[in-house]
Amino acid sequence: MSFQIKAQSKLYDVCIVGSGAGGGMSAKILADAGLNVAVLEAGPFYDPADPEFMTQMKWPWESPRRGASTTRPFGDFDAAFGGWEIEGEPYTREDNTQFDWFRSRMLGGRTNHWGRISLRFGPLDFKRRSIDGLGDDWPISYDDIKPYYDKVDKLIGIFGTKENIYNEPDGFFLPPPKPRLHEHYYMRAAGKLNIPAIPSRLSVLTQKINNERGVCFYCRQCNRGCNVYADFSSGSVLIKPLLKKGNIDLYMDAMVRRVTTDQDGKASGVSYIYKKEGKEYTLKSKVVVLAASACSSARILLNSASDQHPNGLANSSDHIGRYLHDSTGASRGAIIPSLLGRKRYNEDGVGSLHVYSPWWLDNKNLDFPRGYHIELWGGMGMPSYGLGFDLPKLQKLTGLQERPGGYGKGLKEDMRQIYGATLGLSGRGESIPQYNNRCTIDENVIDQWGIPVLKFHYQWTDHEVRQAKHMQDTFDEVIHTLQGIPLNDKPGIETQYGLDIPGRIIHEVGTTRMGNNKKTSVVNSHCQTHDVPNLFLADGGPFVSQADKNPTWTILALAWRTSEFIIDQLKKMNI
Amino acid sequence: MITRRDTIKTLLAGTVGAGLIVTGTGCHTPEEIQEVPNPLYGRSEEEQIRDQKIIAESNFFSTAETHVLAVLIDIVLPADEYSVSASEAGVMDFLQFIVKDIEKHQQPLKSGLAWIERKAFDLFEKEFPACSEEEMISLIDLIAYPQEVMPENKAGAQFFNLLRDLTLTGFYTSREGIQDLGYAGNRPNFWDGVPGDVLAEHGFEVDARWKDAYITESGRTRLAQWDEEGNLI
Repeated sequence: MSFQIKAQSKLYDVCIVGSGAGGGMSAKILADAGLNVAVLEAGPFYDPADPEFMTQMKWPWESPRRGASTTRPFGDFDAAFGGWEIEGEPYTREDNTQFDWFRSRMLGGRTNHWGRISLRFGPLDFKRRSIDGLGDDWPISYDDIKPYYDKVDKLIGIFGTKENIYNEPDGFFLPPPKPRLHEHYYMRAAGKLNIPAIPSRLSVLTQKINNERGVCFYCRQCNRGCNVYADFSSGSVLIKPLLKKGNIDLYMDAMVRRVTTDQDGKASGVSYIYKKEGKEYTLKSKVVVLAASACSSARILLNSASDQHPNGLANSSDHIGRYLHDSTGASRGAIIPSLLGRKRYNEDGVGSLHVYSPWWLDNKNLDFPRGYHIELWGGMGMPSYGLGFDLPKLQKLTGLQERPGGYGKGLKEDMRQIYGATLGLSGRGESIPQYNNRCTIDENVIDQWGIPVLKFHYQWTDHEVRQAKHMQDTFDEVIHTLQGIPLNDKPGIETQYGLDIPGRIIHEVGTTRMGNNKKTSVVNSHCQTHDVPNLFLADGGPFVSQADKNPTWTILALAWRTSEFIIDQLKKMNI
Repeated sequence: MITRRDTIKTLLAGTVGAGLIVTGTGCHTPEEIQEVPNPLYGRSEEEQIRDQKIIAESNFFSTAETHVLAVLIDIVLPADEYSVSASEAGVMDFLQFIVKDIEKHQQPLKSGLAWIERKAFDLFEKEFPACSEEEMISLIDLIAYPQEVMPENKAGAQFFNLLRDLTLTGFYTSREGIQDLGYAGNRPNFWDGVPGDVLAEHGFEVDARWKDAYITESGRTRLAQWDEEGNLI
C-alpha cells in the first residue's frame, strides 16, 4: 500500500475521485483488471477495526457527552465524520429554498454511516415516464443492470427472502434474522391493513461469504462501522482488500478541485489540494472517474471550466447540477401499551430494521405519483443522550401519572415501564426530479481551500407533499390498528405533513443524469459524459430517477457496469 | 508514511499515562493538551482536541452552585432498592461536562439555580442548602409538575424540567442506570428471535411463511453458495 503525497509524473490508467460506494466499486473492478489506478479521497484514512477509530461496542458512559450529537450529527458513536455542516466548507441556498447537504469526508465516505438497506430498483423504476408521464425514463432497463445487481449481491453479501414481487426483484440472498417484538406487532397490524411486511434486505453478513470477512454478531451498531467487516462499507469491503494486494495508490486528504483537460478537450487527470499542506498537486491519467457524490462531482465539473468548456466540463447541455433529487421522508412514533414494563432480553439484532414494507399500492387510485416503503425502529435499544427527555409527556400519554413530571423514586419506576415500548415508522419515497431543482456554483463564496462552493435551489412540489400526507395517513392507521399511543399529533399541511427538508434523507442523486439525448443529459447509458469520452461518473449523479429505494445498491451495480465498459474501451483504444 | 495514529501519539506525547484529573480550581489554559478520561472512543483528531479543551477548562458552575445541583439531582433520582442515586451514578460529572459541550444549557441552568435561591429566600429567608429537607421539597413541589405551575413559578418550572431531562439522561446512560433499566445488549451473540415465552405472552409465533428461511446459528459459519436461481445450496 502507498499513501502518495507528492506530485506524480506517473501516468495512471484511471484516476477515481472518491472512495464511497461508486469509487470503491470502480477501484475494485478496474484494479483487478490490471489497470493502474489512483483513488483520491478528500478525507482521512479510516478503519473500523483499528482501536483508534473504533466506536463499536462502546458504552454510552465511555463518551463524556454520552453519545450526544455535538460533533457528529448521528451521535458520538456514528462512524461518519462530517455532517450537514463542515467547518470551512460552506454551501449556500437560493431564494429561501432549502437543501441540507450531508458530506462525509473519509475513506469509504457515507457508506460508513448508512442503515445498510440495500434495495434493487425494479423494472418499473427505470421506466416511470412511460407509466405516469412525469420525469424521464432511464435509457437502460432492469435487464441491463440485473447481472450487475446479481454480482454485487454475491460479492458484498445481502440478506433477504425471495418474495416474487414484480417491482422488488429478488436476488442472491443470505438468510434474514427473525423479527424483533415490536416488528411482530407491526407485521400483525400491517397484515390486517393489507400492507405487505416482509424480511428486510440489508447488506449484513448473517452467513459467511468468504474468509476475509466475519459474520454478524448482532450488536445493532452497523452505523458505528464493524470491526469484523460483517456489514458493507466501501472502505472495509472494497478498498481495504485492494490496499492489501497493493494494486491501487490511495491519496488521502486529497480534495479534488478540477478535472484537467488537454488541448483536444479530453480529460488529462485531476488537480487536487493536499489538505495537510494546503498545496495543489496534479495527477495524470488516461481516464477520469468521478465518484465524489452527486453534488461534489457536479461541483468539480462546474469548477473545471476552460476555454474549450466555458460552461463547465461536460456541460454543453447545461444539465450539470439539474434534476438534483433526494428521497422523501416522513416519520411518526408511538407507544405500544402492551409493551409497557416488558420482559428484558437482548434485542439488539442487526444494525437496523429486520422487517419492512415495500410499496404496495397502485397510483391509479391515488392523488400522487410514485411510492414509498416503510422502515421500522424502536424496541429495547442502547440508551444514549436524550433518553428520558420528555418523560412528563410520556407519563401523561401512557397514563402512568395523573400529575406528569415530579421527582423521586417514581421516576425510576416510570422509566422502567416506558423503556423499550416505542415503535417508529418512517416512510422513504420517490420524488419527481425537477429541471429547476439544482446546484450551481456560488461565485461569491469560497471554501477554506479557495474553491468556489455550491449554491442549492430546491423546492418540493405538490407530488411530494401529497405523498407525505399519504404516509401520515398510513402511519395513523397502523398505530390505530395496533392500539398504539401516538407520540405526537398527526402532522398536517402546516408542516407539509412532516415531510423532511430536501437532503435530509441523504440520497442525493440526479445531477449528471443519464440519457440518449446530448441536449438533455450529461452522460450516456454507460455513464460516459457525452462531451468528454474519457470522463465517467460513478456516483448517484447519473440517476434519472431514484425509485423509493435507497440508492447504494444501484450505485454499486452501475459502477461495476461502467468499469467493465471502461476496460473494454481502453482495450479497443477508443478512449 | 505518517499515519493518523502517529499524529495522535505525537499530540499526546508527554501526557499519556499521566492520568491527569482536572478540577474546577485548575488554571489550565485551553491550549494545554490533557489526556481525556476515555481517549479510545474513536475520536478524530479534531474531536480529541475538543474533548481535551473542554476537560481542561474550569468548571462552569461555582462551588456553591455545584453543591445545590448535587442536592437537586438526588431529589430527582434518589437511591431505591434497585439502584443508586443520580450523584452516586456520576451525573454531576456529566452535568459539568455537558454544559461546556452544549453551551445552550448554560444560561437556563445558571439562571434557574439563582431562581431557586431567590425562592428559598422569599419562602424561608435562607439559602437553599440551609433549608430543611421538608422546606426543600415544598419549594420543589411548586415547580415539579408542569401542568400545575403558578405563573410566578414558570421560570423555575422550566429550569426543573431541563434539570430533570439532563439528570435522567445522565443517569440512564451511566453503568448503574443501564443496569437498572435492564438493557441486555451490546455483547456479541446470535439473535434467534424473540424468546419463546415472550412471543407467547404477546400472542405471536414465528411466521410459518418464513420459518425455514431465517438464519440459524449452525448455518451462519457455512460458506454461502447459490444455484443460478439465487437459492442457497
